[in-house]
Amino acid sequence: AEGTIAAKYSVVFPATGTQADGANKLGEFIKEESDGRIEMEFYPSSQLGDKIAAMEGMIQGTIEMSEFSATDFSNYDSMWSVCSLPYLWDSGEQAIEVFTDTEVTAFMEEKVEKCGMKIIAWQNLGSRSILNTKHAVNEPADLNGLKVRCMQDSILAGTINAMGASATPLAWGECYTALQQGTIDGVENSEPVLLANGMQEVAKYLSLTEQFIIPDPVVVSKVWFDGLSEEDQQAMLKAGEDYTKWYNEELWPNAEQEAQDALIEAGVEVNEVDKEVFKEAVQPVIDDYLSSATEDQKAFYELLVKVRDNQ
Amino acid sequence: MEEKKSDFFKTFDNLIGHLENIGVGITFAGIVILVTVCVFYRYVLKSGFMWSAEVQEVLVVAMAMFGCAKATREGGHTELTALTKLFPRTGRVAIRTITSILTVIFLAVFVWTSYKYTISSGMLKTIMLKIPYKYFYMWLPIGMALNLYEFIKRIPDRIKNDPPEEY
Amino acid sequence: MQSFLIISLIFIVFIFILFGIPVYASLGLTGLISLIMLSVTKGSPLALQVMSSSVYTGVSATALLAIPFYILAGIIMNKGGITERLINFALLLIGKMPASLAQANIVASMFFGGITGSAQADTSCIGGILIPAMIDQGYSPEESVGVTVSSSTCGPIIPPSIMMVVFAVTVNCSIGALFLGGAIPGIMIGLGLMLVVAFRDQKYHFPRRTESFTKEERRKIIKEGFVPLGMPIIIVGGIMTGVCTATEAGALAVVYSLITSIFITKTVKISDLWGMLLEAGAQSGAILMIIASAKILAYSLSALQMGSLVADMFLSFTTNKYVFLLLLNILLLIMGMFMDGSAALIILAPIFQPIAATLGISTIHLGVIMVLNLIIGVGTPPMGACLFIASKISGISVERCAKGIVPYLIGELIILFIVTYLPITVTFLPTLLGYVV
Ligand code: NA
Ligand code: NA
Repeated sequence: AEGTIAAKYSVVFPATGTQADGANKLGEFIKEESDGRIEMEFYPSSQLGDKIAAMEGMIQGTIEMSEFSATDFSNYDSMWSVCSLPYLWDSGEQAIEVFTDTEVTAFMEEKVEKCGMKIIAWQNLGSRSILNTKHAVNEPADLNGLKVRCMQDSILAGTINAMGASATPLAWGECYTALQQGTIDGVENSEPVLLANGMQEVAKYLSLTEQFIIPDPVVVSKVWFDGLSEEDQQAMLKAGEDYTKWYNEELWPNAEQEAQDALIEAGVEVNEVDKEVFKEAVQPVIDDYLSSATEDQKAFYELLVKVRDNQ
Repeated sequence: MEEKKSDFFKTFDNLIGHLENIGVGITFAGIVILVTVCVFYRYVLKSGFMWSAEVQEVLVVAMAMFGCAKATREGGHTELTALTKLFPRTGRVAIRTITSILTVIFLAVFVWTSYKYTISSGMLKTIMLKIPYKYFYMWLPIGMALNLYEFIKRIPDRIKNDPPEEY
Repeated sequence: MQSFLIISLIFIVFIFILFGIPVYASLGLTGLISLIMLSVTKGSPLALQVMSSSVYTGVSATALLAIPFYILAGIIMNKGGITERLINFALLLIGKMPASLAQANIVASMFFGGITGSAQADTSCIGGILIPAMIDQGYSPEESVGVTVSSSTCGPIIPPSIMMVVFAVTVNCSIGALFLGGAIPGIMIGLGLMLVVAFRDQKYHFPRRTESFTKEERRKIIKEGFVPLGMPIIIVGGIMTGVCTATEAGALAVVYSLITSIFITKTVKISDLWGMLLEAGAQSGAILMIIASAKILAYSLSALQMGSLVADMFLSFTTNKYVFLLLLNILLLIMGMFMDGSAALIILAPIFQPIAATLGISTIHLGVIMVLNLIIGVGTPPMGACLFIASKISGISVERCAKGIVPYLIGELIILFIVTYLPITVTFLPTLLGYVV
């Protein structure tokens, strides 16, 4: 409408599903907190471009809002690769608590602003486990010889390899057919994402290895944010705060449970694993990383661990 | 004097042609080899290069951009001529002049904006190899600058010879 | 206001293309104008970087790599004389059937396109071989292009299909059910086109073989047929046994055709390779650039919220299921003519899925209808990628190509309407195999 400020929210996830439900509610929070002055326009499915394009748009101020994985910041600043480390958190809830802690927020703020963005909210995306076509996985040896699709990231790939599988690079969009035809044997992701992409139709063994817990921040363009009135800025921050609480306490826990139920109903065999064995197997990846880490990476890692252990 | 100038231009133009050929040929061959080797590694050796997609990306972008310029050089771009053919000669010349100018405007804006895009990519790096994105993006202004050169070179022919029977 | 902008943008791009601005530049130029309009109407900064990021993501998309691969493989097979062997073999198989080469073209596409899931790859590969062969045998170039391009649309309907995956992920439905749903309509399209060829043969008497092959000839053709037949075996076998993805199979096809034509048929020298790379590179550059520039315009159309405008318009017209389907078909056919199919799916699927669900249309049925509609556009002007590829291969203008495709287009439209109004053609297989549709 006339006189309102439009905020384009450009994301890669599809127009339906848990994340989209979240996005629509985020728009409501923003409208409510700004008394209708700011209107969020939701652009799902990379309609306005992929993650990199969204980041670049935010830096230029042509895209106002986006959301992506915390590790995606490492395109700009290698410090964020810390978030890729395996078994950094016990649960998604714990990760959210730490990332919204005041000390951690203060530390991250300057780093994010240097990338031309500002974090207004955090979303739990659960933990990533391995779904495969062959058999249930209980210990690292069960993963031997399984080609598991992995994102292009040396820590993530190193972890999958250390867990016993062969990390295989492949575009996410090709995974369904690749699983069906045996090009790869497994994928790793959280239950709602696996379900949203129909992976339960082609792979039947989900082992709750929970190697990665990487939450998604909701970010806004720094240039755009700075151009808002003081009142609107406060409204955006308050909306982000309300959203973080609602998303993590109400939306996600239900979605995660529902997704797991739906997977089981679709005939997926879900099994718990002894995570300690896997933690031990991937310890060298963490040790390697820390031994060659930069000052920033070390500082960030130590801060996260300190806040985590104090809770 | 006149002849010298055209000799110089010929040499320069040949050089550009070679540059485009080398750009297209090497990147294309590189992609075929890279993808084949990746399939071999994954299927036979059960391992993969996590970096392959990044290298593949830069190769395909460079290949497409050089290929685009080469297509202009050889008149290989798709353009419709049915409507223009219906006009009398003056009309055709006018249309071809205007459309040539518009195309030059697009290409010039693209070269300029993609150059800005490349230099402003700043800290942006790929995740695996930590290659700055400017080495990926720079093929856009380079390729389109070559394309602009090739297009301008063809303009007199485009206008004088009307829409050719078949491109 | 926004609908006015959208309509004027589509009008502008049409004008540019019709007046002979190269297609990629027409799209890019309209994209530039649309970004300026967007900035003025929304009061936001001018997003010029979208031109670069759209073109960049456009050309670097992994799935598109299939295009240069199959173009190159086609060139190598042609120059290596493998084409001739394949045609002889196809003729031997089809015997003295009328219009044998045209029919073989369609069957080959149902087979090849079915596996690769990409209409463009099919036109490049099958067309690269069969268009010259058909012209050689005495078909008109128009006919050769018409048969080739129309039959390429089988690919994204017969499973597997990249477009179906895009639809399923966008609206969150079962990919497996959608794949199965496409099987019967895909085969119907193929058979329908074969019928069109048969009808036209009554009138035009397409070339056919009159003399029988001698025993020696047969033996020679069969023996020589092993080389080209290895190609689909490599591609089908490679994908089905999980050696490679459909895109990667393109690279293997290049390697296979190269090795066989250098070492087995000995018709290509290593020194010829460079020239073939350059030829395929220029052709691919031209096609990739069109797809990439279309993305600039797609950005603005998305940002102008074309999607919700279209939905409002639809519901104000009708709430009748059959009228809705008719309007949907008309709209999608037009969209398919202007936009990349996957891009149109991403924008339109989430708009129509809820409307369709309210009207009692199954999501699987909707998905097949949408893909079928949009894929028909790859063979029509002004922006049909397959038409452009075929025009390059045949050496005749896009206009002449478009003329050639008309009779086949009519055949496709008839099948489209059958599939639209007889949902059983889509839902039968998935239901049979236990999916709830
Ligand atoms: Na297919
Ligand atoms: Na065909």
